[in-house]
Amino acid sequence: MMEQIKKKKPDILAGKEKQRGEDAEWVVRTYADMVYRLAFARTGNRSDADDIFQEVFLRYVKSPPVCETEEHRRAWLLRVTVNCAGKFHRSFWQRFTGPMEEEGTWTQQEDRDLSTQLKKLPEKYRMVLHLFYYEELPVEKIAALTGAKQSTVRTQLTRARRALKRIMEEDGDA
Amino acid sequence: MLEQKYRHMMDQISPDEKLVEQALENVWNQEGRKGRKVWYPAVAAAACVCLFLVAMPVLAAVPQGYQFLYLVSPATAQFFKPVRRACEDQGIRMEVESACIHGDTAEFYVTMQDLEGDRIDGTTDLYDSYSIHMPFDGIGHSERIGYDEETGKVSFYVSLTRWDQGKIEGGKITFSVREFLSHKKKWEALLIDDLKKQERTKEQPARLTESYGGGGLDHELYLEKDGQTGVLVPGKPWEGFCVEGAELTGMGYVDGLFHVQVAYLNRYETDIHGFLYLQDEQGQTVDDIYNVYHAESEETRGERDYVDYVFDVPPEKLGKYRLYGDFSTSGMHVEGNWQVTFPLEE
Repeated sequence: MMEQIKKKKPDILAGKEKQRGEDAEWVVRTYADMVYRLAFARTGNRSDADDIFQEVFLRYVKSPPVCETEEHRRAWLLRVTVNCAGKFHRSFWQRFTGPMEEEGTWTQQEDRDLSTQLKKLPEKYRMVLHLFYYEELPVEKIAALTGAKQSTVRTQLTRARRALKRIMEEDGDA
Repeated sequence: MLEQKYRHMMDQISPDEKLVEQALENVWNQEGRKGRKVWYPAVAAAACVCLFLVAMPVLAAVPQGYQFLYLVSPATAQFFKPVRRACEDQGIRMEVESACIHGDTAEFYVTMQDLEGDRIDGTTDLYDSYSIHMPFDGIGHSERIGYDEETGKVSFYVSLTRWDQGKIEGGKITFSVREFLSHKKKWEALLIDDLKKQERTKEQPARLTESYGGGGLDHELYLEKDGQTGVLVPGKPWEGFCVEGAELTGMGYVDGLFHVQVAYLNRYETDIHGFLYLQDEQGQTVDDIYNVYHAESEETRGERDYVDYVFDVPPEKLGKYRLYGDFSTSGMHVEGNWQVTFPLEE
C-alpha cells in the first residue's frame, strides 16, 4: 500500500506556507509506516492504530516541531505516538468502540501465531519490544521516549522476553 | 531469531492508503479536523446518559479501595460495583474489591494484605504468576496501582478483553495468584570498575558453552546453530562487589570483545537481574551488544546462573570508559494459593 505512494521531498524554493504544507506532506508519507507500526504494536489492532495515526499527524500539522535534524523529527514522532497511544488506552470512550478484525493481515501462520502471542503481553512490554527490535533504539533512547528510567526499560525488556518465551512454550512454539 | 520473526511480521503492517490520504487532507487543509472520525460526540453523549443512570446506586456503596480507582480513571471509577470476595492463605488476604464490565472489557481491583507481618509492601510484584479463568477467550493484564501504608494493602488493577470483541454478559471470573515478590532493592548507576588496569584489556580464558537465554541487539548473531557461544571461564568472585545475591566472576576479552561476567544466585527466587553499561567522561554510554545466560551444569541452573555481558569496544579504547551497572533483587519471595471467584454483573 504505502510502497505505491511516491515519496516527495520538500521543495525548499517554494513560498513559506507552501513549503510548510509540502514539508508536512513529505513527513506524513515518509513516517507513515513508522508511526502506524508503533501504534499497532502498542494497541494490537488496526482500528485503534488508525485513530492514533490520525492524532499524531494532526498534532504535527497543527503545531509542527522545530527539528534541526531528521533524527529529531523521528524522535518527536515516536514520542508523540507513545503519548497518544498511552492517552488513547486510558480514554474511557475508546472502550465503547470495537476493534476491527485483523483477518488478512498476515501472510504466514508463523506471523499470525506471533501476533497472537504478542497480544498476550502487557501493552508496555509490546511497546518496548517494538522500539528495541524494530526501531532498533538503544535502551537510553527508549527511556527518553517513554519517560521511564533506563533500568525500568531494561527490566521491561527482560520480562517481556521471558513472558513471550513462556507463552511460546505454552503454545509449543518455542 | 525473535528479532527476525518480529521484523517479518511487522513489515506487513502499513496504514491503509485512505488513512494516509486523510492525514494528507489535514496537511492541505490547515483547519485540520476534516479527516477525523466523528464518533466521539455520539459516544460521549450516550456514555453521559449511562453515567447518569448507573452512578448513583454504585456510589451508595463505596468500597475500601475505591480511592485507587481515581488514580487510573476518575470517569471509569463511577461504573465500578463492589465485589468484596476474599480468600486467605499463608496469613495473606487477597480481596477482589470492585469490578466493572462494559462492552468487550472487564476490569477489577484486587488488594493483598499481610495479616501477620510485613511481607506485603509498596514494591509487591505478582511476578507474572497470576492467572485468570474466564468464560470467554481473552487477554488480560495487571498492574500495581498503589500501596496504603496505614492498612498495609497493596492494590492491583486487572483488565480483560474478549478476543472476538463480543460483549461480555455476565459469567464468573476466577483470579488466582501463586507467588509474589516484595521488599525490592535496587542499585542504580553502581560504579563497578574504572577499567584503567592493563589486565582488563587482555584476552582471558574462555570456554564454549550452551546459552539458554540472553538479549541485546546482536544476541542471535553470536550464537552458533546449536546455541553454543564463547564465554569467560568463571573465576573467583571479586571482593567488594556489593550487590546482594550477585557475584562478579570475570572481566576481559574473548575473541576481541570485552566480556564482563556476573553470577546470579537463586534468581528464580528473587528475580535478581542486572544491566551493565560503559560510560565515558562526557556521559556517553555504550550498551552491551549482547548478553548470554549460561550455567556450569543443568543442575545448577536457577541456583547459580552466569551472564556474560559483551561490549564491542577495542582494547585500546577501553580505558576511556567506566563500567556501571543497574541491579534489582527482591528481599522476599512468598508462595501460596490465593484464589477468588466472583460474578461479573453489569
